[in-house]
Amino acid sequence: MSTLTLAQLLAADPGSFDAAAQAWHALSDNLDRAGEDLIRGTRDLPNAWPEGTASQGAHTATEAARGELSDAYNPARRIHQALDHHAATLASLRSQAQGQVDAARQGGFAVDVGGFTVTPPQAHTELAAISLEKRAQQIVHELSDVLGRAQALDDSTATAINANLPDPVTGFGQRALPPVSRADLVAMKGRDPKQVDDWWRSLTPEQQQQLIRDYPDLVGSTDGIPCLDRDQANRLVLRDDRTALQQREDWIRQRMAWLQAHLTGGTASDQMAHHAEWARLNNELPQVEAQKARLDRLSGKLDSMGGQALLLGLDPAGDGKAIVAVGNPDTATHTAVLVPGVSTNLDGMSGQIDRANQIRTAADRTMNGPGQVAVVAWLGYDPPQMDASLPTAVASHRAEVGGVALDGFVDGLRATHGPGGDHITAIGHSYGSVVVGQAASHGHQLAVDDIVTAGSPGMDVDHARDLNVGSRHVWIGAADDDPIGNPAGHAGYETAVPIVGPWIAQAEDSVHGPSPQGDDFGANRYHVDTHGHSGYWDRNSQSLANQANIVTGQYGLVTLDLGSRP
Amino acid sequence: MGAPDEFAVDVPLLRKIAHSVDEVGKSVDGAVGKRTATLTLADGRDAGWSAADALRSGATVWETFLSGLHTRICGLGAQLSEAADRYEQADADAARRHRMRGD
Repeated sequence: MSTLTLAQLLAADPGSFDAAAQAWHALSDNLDRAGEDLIRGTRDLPNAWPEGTASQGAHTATEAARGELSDAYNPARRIHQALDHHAATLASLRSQAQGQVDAARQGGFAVDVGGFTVTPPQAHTELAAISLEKRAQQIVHELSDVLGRAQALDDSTATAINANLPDPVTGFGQRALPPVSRADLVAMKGRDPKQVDDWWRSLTPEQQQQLIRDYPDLVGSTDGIPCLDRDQANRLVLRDDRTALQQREDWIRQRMAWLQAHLTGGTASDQMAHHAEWARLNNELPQVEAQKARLDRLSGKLDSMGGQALLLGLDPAGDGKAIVAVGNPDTATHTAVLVPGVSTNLDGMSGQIDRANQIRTAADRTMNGPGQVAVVAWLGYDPPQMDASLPTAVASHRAEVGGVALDGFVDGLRATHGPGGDHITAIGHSYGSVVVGQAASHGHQLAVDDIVTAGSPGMDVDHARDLNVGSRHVWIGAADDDPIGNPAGHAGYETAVPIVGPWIAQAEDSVHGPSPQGDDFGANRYHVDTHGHSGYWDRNSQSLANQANIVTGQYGLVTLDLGSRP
Repeated sequence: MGAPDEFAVDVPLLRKIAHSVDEVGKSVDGAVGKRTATLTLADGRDAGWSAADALRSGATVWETFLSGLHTRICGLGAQLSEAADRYEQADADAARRHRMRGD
C-alpha cells in the first residue's frame, strides 16, 4: 500500500509522469506498427520458401515473432493509459491539496506539510478558539481525503505497471502471471469507480478471470468493474449460494432423521439435548428451503431472459438484494435504473425484472433498432417491508443508505461505459423515489441526465432544482387514484395499510418533503393514464410510453400535464 | 538451417522478406534506443511514489525484453538471408555442374 505523504504529494511533478506516458504511447504505437510490418513483410514466406524440412524452423520463428510483437502491444498500451491517468489525476489532486494549504494559511492557520499538522491562529475568546480548532480539524480531514485519493491512485498505477511486465525469457506469450490477491480487490472496493475501472483494465484477461473465479462476491459487488464481468461473478455467487443451501438442507434432513431415531434412547440429558436440537433444526429447515426457493426463482428468471439479463449484484442475506440489467448498460446508448419501493425483496425481483423489460421494450420501439437501451432493476438497498419494518417507510434512514449505494452504482455505470452515447435516467417508484432524491442531493451528485418518479411520496428535497439535474429534467408522474403518489391520497393509507396506516398517512405528508406532484415543486408532470400505485408500467399505456420517451431522450414526445420540455 | 530441400524456392522474394524482417527488428531496436530515457522518470520530485518505483524497475524489465525481441527478430532476418544465400549458391553450383557435364 502506498505510504505517500502530504509533502510528497505537494512536491510531485505530474509533468514527468506525463512525459513517461507519452513515451509509452509512442512505444505501444511502434510495437503495433512493427507487428503489422512483420505480418505484411512475411506474408509471402510460404510462397518464397514452401514449408518443408529445411524451412520449418524459419516458419516457426516467424510465427513466434509475430506473436511476441502482438502480445507486447496491449501491455505497453495499458502502462501508457495508467500513466496518462496518473499524470492528469495527480495534477488535479496536487492542485486541490495546494489550494487547501494556501487557503488555510491565508486564514491564519499554520500548516506544517511535513508533520501534517494544522495549527489555528490565536483566538481572543474561548468560543472563537473552539471554532478555530474545529476548522483546523476540518482542514486536516479535507487534506487527508485528498491524500487518500492520491495514495489510491499511486497503488492503482503501480499495480497496472507491475501487471504488465514481460517475463524476461518468455515475454508475454507463455508467462505465468502473478495472481491478484483478495487484499488488492478489497482495497479497490469503495474507491472512485473510475479508478476501479482503470485498475481492472490494467489487469490481463487471465488475472481478471482469476479474480472472478477466486473472489466472485467481491468482483460482483464492486462498482467500476464492467457489467459482463460482474454478471459472470454474480452467477458464480448464485450457484455457490444455491449449492451451500442445498448442502445445508441435506445435512439438516440427515441430522433430524438421526435425532428422531435417538429421541428415546440414551440418558435423560441426551434425550433433552436431542429434542432441543431437533426443534431448532425443524425451525431452520423451512427458512433454508425458502432461501433456496427464492434463489431458484431468480435463477429461473435469469434463464428465461436468455442472454438479455445481466446479474450485476446479489446479496441473499436478510430480505435479499439483487441488481439485474435487461440489456448491457456498458454498450447501451440509453440506460435507465429503476429503483423499487416498499415491500420489494428478492422474492419480488421477478416482477421488477418484468417492469424493467417493459420499459426497455417500450423504449426500444422508439429507437431505430433494438439493443440501444438497457434498463436496470436496482434492488441494491433494503426497502421497508410489509412487516415490523414498515414504519421505517416514513423515515429516511433506509433511503439515505440506499442513496449512497445508488450514487456509487451509477458512477460505476459511467466509468465502465464504452465509447458513444451514455444517457442515464433514474426512475424511482414510491419509496424508491426517496432513495433517488437522497442520491441526487444532500451532498451527493447522482450522475444521471434525467430523473423520473412514479407514485412518489416525496423526495427529501424542497424543489426539483435541488436534485442537481436541472428542473426540466425532473419528471413526476402519479395516478389520480394512487394513495401514495397523490398528495390528496395519502389518507388512502388508512384503508390500504392495516393498523399503522393512519400513522403513516399523517407522517407521509411531511416526512419526505413536499409532494413532487405539487405545482411549487418545479418539476415536469408527465401524463399518467394508469391506475393505482403499481400500474405505471402497464403495456401500451401512456404512462409507460412517456417514461420510455424520457429514457431515450425524446423529450418532444412526452405528454405533459405541467411544466415544459428541456 | 538445413540443406536446400526439393521444393522450389523463390530466392529474390526470400531475400526481400529477410530484408523486411531485419527492418522490423531495427525498428524495435530504435524504439528501445529512442525511448529508454523517457520510459522511466528522471530522478527528481517523485520520492515516496510507489508508481515511480514500479515504473523504474518495470522500464528495466521492458528494456531487457525489447532488446531480446530485437535480437530474435534480427536473428530471424539473418537466418532468412543466409538461406537465400545458400539457395543462390546451390543454384550456381548446379548450373556449373551442368556446364561441366556439357548438358
